[in-house]
Amino acid sequence: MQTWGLTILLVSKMAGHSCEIPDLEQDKTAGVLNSQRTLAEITEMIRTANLIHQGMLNLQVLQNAGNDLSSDSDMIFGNKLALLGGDYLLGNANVQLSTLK
Amino acid sequence: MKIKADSSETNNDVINNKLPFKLDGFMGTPESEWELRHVLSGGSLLGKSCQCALILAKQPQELQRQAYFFGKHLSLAWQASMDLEPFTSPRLPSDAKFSLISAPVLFHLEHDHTIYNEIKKGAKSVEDIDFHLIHKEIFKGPALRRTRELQSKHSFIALNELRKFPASDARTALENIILAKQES
Repeated sequence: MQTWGLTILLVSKMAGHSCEIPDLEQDKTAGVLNSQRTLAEITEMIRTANLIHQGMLNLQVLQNAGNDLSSDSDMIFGNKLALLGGDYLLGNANVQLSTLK
Repeated sequence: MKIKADSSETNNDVINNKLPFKLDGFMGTPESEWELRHVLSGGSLLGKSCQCALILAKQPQELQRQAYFFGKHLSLAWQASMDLEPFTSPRLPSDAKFSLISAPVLFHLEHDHTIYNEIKKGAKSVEDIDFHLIHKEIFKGPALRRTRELQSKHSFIALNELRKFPASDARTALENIILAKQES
């Protein structure tokens, strides 16, 4: 299921480089530019963050919609982890994205 | 539900994919509605990333467009195959839920509007919906066949875009991934 990063890498490899190939700062390893490798990581991070956010639990069914639970009960804690974890991954992905160009 | 003409051809991304998507005229036709929703939720991510991989390699615009369409249709084909997963067996595990915006559900709604009454119960709480009933109905109808056709259609377009690139090991690997997903 999680083969997106791989797909990006394969696409990069398949497309090859253009003639006006960039400066030697971008050293190539295994036929893929370092920037393309970073791109694959970023895509995978965004995808994972999406999936984590989608995994949050709907607490509507609990008594009083879960408002009575203390904040370190499993359900609340798990939801917090999902929310913050997803946000952290998204933030990280954006930071890396800004270093790309 | 009015069936409108299929307006997916008029969507922007064929011309210039940096513009925001047009959002009207899609409700009512299951295929274009499904496609729009899933492109917005995951298809454009893969499509644009593939395009970006080529931008980083300083490839010309035309190749970038091919990569974008490849990524977009690949992710739609994947999504169609994931939509089919809850329906591989006629029995649904007791408290499993499945996505109500998945292709089988949309196709079935077009085939038989009455199931919408069941879905409307979910307006109050998603637990009120009887997923077993919906699952059974969908299994009996044409929705699964149409979803498989949808998956084949998108895999086919993705393969075509892929084949426009020069042959290489990486290209073969990608073709094999698409074909493997088709088989399963």
